[in-house]
Amino acid sequence: MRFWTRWDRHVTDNLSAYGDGMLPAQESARVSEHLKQCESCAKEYDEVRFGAALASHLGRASAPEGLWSSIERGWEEQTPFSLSAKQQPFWLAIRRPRLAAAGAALALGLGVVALTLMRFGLLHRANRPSGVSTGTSVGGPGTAPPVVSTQFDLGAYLEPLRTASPEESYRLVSSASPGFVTVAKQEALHTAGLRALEKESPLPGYRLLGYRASRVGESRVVQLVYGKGNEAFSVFVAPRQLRFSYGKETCVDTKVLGIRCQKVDCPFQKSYVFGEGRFRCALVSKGLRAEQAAAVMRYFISAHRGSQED
Amino acid sequence: MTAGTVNEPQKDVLEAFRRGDQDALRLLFEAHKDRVYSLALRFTGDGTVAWDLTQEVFIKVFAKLAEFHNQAKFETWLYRIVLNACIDQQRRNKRFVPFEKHVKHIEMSEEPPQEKSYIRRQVTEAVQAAVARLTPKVKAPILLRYVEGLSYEEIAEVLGCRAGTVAARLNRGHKILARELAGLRGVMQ
Repeated sequence: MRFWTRWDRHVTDNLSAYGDGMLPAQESARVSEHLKQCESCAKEYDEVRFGAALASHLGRASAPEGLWSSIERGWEEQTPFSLSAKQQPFWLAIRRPRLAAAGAALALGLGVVALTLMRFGLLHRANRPSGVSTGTSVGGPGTAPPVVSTQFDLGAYLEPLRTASPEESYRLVSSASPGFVTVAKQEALHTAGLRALEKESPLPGYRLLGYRASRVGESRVVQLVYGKGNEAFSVFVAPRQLRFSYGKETCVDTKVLGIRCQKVDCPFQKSYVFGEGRFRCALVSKGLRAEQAAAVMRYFISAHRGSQED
Repeated sequence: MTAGTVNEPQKDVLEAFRRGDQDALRLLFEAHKDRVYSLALRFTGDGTVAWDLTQEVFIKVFAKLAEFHNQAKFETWLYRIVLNACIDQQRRNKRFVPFEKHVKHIEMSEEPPQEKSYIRRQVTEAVQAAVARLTPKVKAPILLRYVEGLSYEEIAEVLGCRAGTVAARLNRGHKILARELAGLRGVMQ
């Protein structure tokens, strides 16, 4: 009787393992025998095999081109020491707390000494390069201005749009511009000067789907992606000192429903550069209508209005 | 494949990285880019998100590489990072509706025989969309089995559970897929 109970027990939990040949021989024989007699389990086995056949359509996909360059940029941004680490042995990279603390203490000590010396006019004189008159320098105390990038080129991001089908274009518009990595949403909104806005999206029905950031020189640029169904547009927000460029394309001054902006002179996309306060924005879309583009620009301009540069 | 074992060339790459050779990162990326991207793509069903996740995973791997030791299994470690990144991403964006949620219905009678490759592609898209909707618990073993070709034991090692649990989750996943995509039976035969 016990024998019959064992062979009669339903086998629904073991069907995938049975189909994959993962059961021990004795258990496999039991399942096989049971399936011959039990219509309900046989039906379920058929379902499991069909599910497995469907899943077998999944396979490796090829990683798209261009991934490495964006990873490399993201990596270098995240680890400011990684660039110098390229020329240094790995153990010299400042990742160990003790070494970092020692370095910080040394820097602080040197700073104090330098300040003391400057106070007594010693370092200032000693540091002055020979043959350079500090007294006649234009614009101030003779310190060299910091090196800043003044241009952010969207050419590499936009180029694939040139030949994209309408179905592909929304993906391309919403994809990460090279070097941009996803950041926390609040951080992205804060950097883009949108923290105080009530509405999360400038257009009805559209949602904020992506928030990424990258560093261009001294500036931090945010890419916000908004989408609805198969439509999407991206808005890049940068500090005012950064100028957008579009690869080979040029911009022409225009007005869209009364909003002064620059339109990218290009047939395969509808993109505009606009700005207010201390921000400059680039709206990139494949086919936003004029009234939609104007609504997006108004949304950002109203958020940035009054945020004058220091 | 032997999941997770550190084969010799990879060991060399890791050693090179420890010596300070940053080109080793590029080699590591080249060796695993398809693996990482595929898992992210199949997990999310969205190429754009998969791109972001692949970037995030590699940056995380590079940052943690110094903590990785050869006696551990590199692929196992990598799979865990990928799956955790995918699950985190899903949590972050669960309020957002994916761009394409609709499964395309394919009728065999509508397609001439010469379009088999087209049908195969459509089936793959439909399966990918259905898999993307599975819960992470069911989805992870399905992906490790069918994208990476791991055995039940190897999947169990990655997920930190028993092989029996893997079998039960695969069973559940197969049934859900069969029910969701029952309309494709005619196409598959």
